[in-house]
Amino acid sequence: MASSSSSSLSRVVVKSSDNNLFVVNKKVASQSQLLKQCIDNMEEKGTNDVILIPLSNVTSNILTLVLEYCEKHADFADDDNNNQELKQWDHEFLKKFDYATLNSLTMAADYMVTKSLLNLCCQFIADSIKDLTVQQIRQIFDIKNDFTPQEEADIKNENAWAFR
Amino acid sequence: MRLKRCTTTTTILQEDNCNIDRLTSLPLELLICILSFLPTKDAAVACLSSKRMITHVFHSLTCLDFDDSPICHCNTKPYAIKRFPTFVAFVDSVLLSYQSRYLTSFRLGVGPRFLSRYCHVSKHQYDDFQPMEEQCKKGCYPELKSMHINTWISFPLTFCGLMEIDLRVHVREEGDIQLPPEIFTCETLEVLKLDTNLGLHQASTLPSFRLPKLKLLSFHAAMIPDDDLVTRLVSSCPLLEDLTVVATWVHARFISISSPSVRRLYLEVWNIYEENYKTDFVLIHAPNLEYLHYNDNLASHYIITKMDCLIEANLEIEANDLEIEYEVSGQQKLSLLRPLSNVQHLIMIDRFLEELNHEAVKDQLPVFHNLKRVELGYDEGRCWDKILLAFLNHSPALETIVFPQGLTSSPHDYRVDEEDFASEQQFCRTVLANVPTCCKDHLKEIVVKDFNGYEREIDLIQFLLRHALVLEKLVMYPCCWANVDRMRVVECTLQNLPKASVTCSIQLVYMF
Repeated sequence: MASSSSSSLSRVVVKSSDNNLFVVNKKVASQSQLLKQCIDNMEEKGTNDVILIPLSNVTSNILTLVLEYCEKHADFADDDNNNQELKQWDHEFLKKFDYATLNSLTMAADYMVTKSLLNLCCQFIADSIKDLTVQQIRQIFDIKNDFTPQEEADIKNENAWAFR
Repeated sequence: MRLKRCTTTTTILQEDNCNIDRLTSLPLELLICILSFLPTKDAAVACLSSKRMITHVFHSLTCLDFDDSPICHCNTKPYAIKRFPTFVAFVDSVLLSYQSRYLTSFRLGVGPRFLSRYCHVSKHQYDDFQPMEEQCKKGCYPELKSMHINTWISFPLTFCGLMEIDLRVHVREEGDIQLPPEIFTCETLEVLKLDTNLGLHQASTLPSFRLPKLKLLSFHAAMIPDDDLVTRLVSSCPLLEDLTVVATWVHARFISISSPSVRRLYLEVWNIYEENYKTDFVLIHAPNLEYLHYNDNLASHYIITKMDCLIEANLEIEANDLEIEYEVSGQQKLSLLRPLSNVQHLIMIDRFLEELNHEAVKDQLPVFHNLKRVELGYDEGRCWDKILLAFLNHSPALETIVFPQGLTSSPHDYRVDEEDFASEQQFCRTVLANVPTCCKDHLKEIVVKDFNGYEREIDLIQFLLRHALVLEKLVMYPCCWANVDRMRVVECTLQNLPKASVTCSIQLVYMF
């Protein structure tokens, strides 16, 4: 949380892999454990410079989304009562993306150690593939079928409960 | 505990095909993470798409979640029972080939929920309840060998880092197979949910339980062998916040629950019905409780620490013993109510208020300084006069009264004796010299469910309208068999009743 000792800064600058700069409020940045760790390290050194954090794995498109999420969750950080509203927001937030974006967002959340966003993405993807057939799964995850027909029949037989 | 942040960038086999919306480049760690959110049978469908997925993802899921639904083992209404062997084979094969070092959550559901066989009890329909109980005693549960049960349940206990166990296991031979007692010494657990008719003797002889991280304990048990088990279990969880115990005891003589950390308590204490046993003492020391649901057959003594932070209390008592005198059982209920006097929302349904409608209650009820909403249940044969006035007088901040089971169920309740009935009528016509404080300043809403429009109900409403000076809303929900035409006439009568708060709106809301 915002510990406001005199030397600490209220904002940090985050650089995306395509070299765009984002000025981020510290409370928002702290939603990511990676950014929080960087800030804490710098503050321990007692620097008064503006902190610049380069993120070599995250493009500006995706970083914008991660920061949008962090901003919303930072707003709600001190408020337990609005859980329902936040959940609703989370769902609407993810609903608009295609798999390619969800893919990148999940990886960015993992890289930036934003655990709640990572879990949210995983849960969302899991829900979206829940009732698909093996064929559809192969398509979405781009998986090559490396079974012989006989092997595949055996697998389905052994796991009859899952395939019904 | 989640998996560590991924450092490698392993990718699933890729092809150049950019037009299809795909989840292609996810590292294996993230695929495991995603598929661990699914019931294991759904994860299986996704993983059995290639050999690589089976070896690298399916055998490494961090959450295992098995459930035999939609199978119904009930003798009279079975469903898909033929598929049960495929369920057993599936669980066996998944556990046998499991390779992960991290298992965080293990869920297993076999057979019906405990509550589904006892749900009738609280509605006191013993006629329905008895035969169902007999049928369900054996035939309606799955036939499972003890070897299977033991292997399955003991499986997760060998993993360090296990955070959640959720077991619903009901078997045909109640009590023959014992619940592995190691569950109660699994030190990493944060969530433990048990819903079972497995035997608890072994567990209850364990010298000590260790659940230092447990935050949520939900325990539905068909048969608890001794009083001590729950007491010791709760006291071995220093961080417990949420506790549910719904159980039948062989004979619950002395129930004691002591937990300074617990904030939500849902407790139903039942003695085996056939024996007509009674509970002697119920001791609850949970001073930081915010939510309480309590249900039993009326214990002889309640020793309860005052709960200062209590927000909601929901009380349901079904006295088994018909011999007991009203004065005595009334005192027992008052001793349960008094420590709850800081509550903000109080619900008392079915027969809880039965004995409290006597003269003495007006002096013995505690003052509920924070009570904003009260729900007063109704059961045939009880009058309203004393209890209603007592609650109005002892709840100075009351804003809402709800009658969740209506005001009366028949035009002439023959279980009420003439004298009591006359006294209630008399009461309804009185004009109080001292209007209760809540009626002067706070009482804004009255809600009557199961409204029939009988004269007795209108009399009671008239009493309330006459004294509630700042009432804003009176809402009635006619019961489902009410005649709409007759209700219109009743509504007209209600609109023309004299009321102390002229701006109060009166509405009838039809739910059917």
